[in-house]
Amino acid sequence: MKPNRIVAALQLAPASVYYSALFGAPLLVLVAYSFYTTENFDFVPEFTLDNYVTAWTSEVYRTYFIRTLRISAITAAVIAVVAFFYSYVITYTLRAHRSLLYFFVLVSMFGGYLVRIYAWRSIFGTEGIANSALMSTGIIAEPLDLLRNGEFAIIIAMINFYLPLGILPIYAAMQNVGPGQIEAAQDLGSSRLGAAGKIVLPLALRGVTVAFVFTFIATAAEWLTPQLLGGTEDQMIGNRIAYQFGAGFDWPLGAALAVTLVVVLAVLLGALFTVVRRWVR
Amino acid sequence: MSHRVIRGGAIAAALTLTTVLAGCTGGGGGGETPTGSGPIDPTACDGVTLSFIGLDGEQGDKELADWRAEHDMTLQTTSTADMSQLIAAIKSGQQFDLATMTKDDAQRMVEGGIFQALPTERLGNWADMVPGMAESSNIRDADGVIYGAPIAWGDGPFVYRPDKAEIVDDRLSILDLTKPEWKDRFVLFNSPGRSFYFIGNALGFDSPNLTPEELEEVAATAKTLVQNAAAFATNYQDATDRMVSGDVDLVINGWQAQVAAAAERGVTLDWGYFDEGRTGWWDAIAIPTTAQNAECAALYIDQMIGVDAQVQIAENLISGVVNTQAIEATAGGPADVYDYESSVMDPTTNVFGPMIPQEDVPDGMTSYQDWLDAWEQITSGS
Repeated sequence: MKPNRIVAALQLAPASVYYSALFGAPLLVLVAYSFYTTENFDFVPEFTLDNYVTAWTSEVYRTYFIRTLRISAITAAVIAVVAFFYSYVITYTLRAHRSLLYFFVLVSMFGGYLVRIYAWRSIFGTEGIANSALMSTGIIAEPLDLLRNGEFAIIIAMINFYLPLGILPIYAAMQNVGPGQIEAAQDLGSSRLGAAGKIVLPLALRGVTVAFVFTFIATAAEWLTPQLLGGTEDQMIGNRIAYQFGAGFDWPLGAALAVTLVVVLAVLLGALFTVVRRWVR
Repeated sequence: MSHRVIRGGAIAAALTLTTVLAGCTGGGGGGETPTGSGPIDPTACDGVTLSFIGLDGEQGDKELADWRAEHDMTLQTTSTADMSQLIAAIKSGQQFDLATMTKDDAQRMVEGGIFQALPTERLGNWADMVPGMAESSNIRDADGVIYGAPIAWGDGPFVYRPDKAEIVDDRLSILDLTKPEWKDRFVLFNSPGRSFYFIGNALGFDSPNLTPEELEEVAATAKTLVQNAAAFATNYQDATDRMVSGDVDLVINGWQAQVAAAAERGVTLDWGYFDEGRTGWWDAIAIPTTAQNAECAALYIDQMIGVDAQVQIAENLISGVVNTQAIEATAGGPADVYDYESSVMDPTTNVFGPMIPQEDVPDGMTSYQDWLDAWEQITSGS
C-alpha cells in the first residue's frame, strides 16, 4: 500500500469504526433479525422470508407505509419551500440582520422535543387554543375537525420541529450564490421573486434537495408525534415498528418493517437525486 | 481506496456483526435468581442498589423511603408507562431488578419469558394477599407458577366530566359511545382489551371467549368506537390532562385517582361503570430475568405488599390494597372507594377474571393474537 493511502486509511479509521459500530452493525443486526422466525414470543435464527411477505403484502402495513410517506412528503416539501425563502431572506434581503435571524433558527432547536409536542397539544384539540380563538372571535361556530388531533396537527408540529434541519443546508448552499448574481438578474429586468426562482434556486438546488431528504427521512421514522398529536387512525409505520419490538413480541417482523422502510426511502430518494442531477445538468 | 483496505473493512464489519449477533439471542436472561429456601434474609438489601423499570409511583419511592434508608440501599427508577418499552428493554438484555407487570399484559409478559418465578413461599406477607389476587390465573403460567405480586388495584370505571357529559346514575353502555353525539368526545387506550370485552358482552357474547365470527362482529363495532374517539390516551395522566383541558369529556379506561388529580387542578370529574360489567385492573411487581439482585428484589417486593407500604400506596395512588390486614386501615381515607367483598375477597369473582383470551385457547376460539390483529386492522384505518 502506498504511504499516502495508508495515511488516508488511518484518517478514515476513527470515523469508519464509529459508524461501523454505531450504525453499520446495528443495521446489520436488524437485517439479520428480519430473517428470523418468532416462536413462542421468542425469535429464533431459522431463516424465513415470511416477515417480508407480511410487510409487503399486508393491507394493514401498506396503509401505514402509504400514510407515513404521504405525511413525510408533505412535511418535507413544506419545509423545503419555507426553508428556501427563510434562507433567501437571511442571505440576501435582511443580510445585515443575518446573525440574529440565524440565531432564531438555532434557538428554535433549544426547546425540548417533548415540551414542544405538548405545546402543540395545547394549540390543537377541540378546545385547543386554535379552535377556541376562532370560536371566541365568531369566525367559526363549531370546532374545526382540521384543528383537532389528526394528520394536520402532526404535519404542522413536525414542520416546526424539523424546519431548522431544512434551513441549515439551504442556507449553506446559498453562501455560494453571491448577491452580485441576483443584482445582475434584476439589472436585466428580473423581479426579486424571478431572480430567486431562476438564479438562486438552480444554484442552491442541491441544498434544497438535501433539506428535503433530511426532513423526509427524519419524519418518516417518527412515532412520538403521531402518538401524541394524532387521532386514532393517524398512526405511522414507526408506531407499528415500536409496537412489534415491545408488546407485540415480534422483533423479526418489526425488523422487516424497519428494513422495508429503509429500502423504500433509499429507492425514493435515489430517484429524487437522479431527477435533480439531470435537472441541474 | 485499495482493495486491501476495502477487504479489511469488510472483515472488520463481519467480525463486528458476528460479535454483536452472538450477544443477540431472544429473551434477556443471564441474571440472578432468588436462591435458598425459607424466609428471605432480612439483610439481603443492605447496601444494594436496585433498579426498577415501570410505572412511576408504583416502585415504592415514597412508601419505602425509610426502609431503604435503614438498609442503606438505593433505588434507581426508569419510568415508563409504555409496556412495549419495558418489554423491549428487558428482552434486549438491559439489567433491571424490578419491573411493573400490568394485568392486561401479564400473560404475554409471562409467556414471553421476561420475568422469573417469584418465590411467594418465601415472602412473609404473601399469606395476607387478598384471595382474588393470590389465586388469579393472570399472574401464573400454564403450570401455575407465580411470576408477579400485585401491589395495587382498581375496578376499571370510566371517568368523565359531569359538567360536560350528562350520564344518568353514572351508567353508560359501551355502545352509547359509538353514537354520533359522542364523536370526538372521549379517549381510550391503544389496546383491544377493554373495548372488545365490553362490546362482546354488549352484543350478547361470552367475552373474552369469542369465536372468529363473533370477533368479526365485535371488531366491526369497535371500528366505529375507534373512529368516534378523539385520540388514544398514552397513559392515565394523559387522559386526565385531556379531560382537564376540556379536550374530551370521558376516558373509557379510567382510574379513580384521576378524580383527585383533576380536583387539584380545579376540575371536577366523576366515574361510573359500563352496563357491560366492570373490568378490574391491577399492577404487580415482578423480577425480570435480567435481575442482578434478585434476592433483594424479592425482599423489596415483600415489603411492598406489607401492611405499612400498602396503606401508603393506597392513599398515594387511590387504589385498593392487596393485603387483607391493610383494608381496615384505609377506611375513611381517600382510597375508601372500593368494595372489597365483591371485588377481591372472592377468588372466583369475575372483576379480576381474564378480560382478554388466555394464551392457550380451545380450538374454535380466538386468541389474544387474533384480537391484536383485528385491532391493528381497525387502527390502521384500512
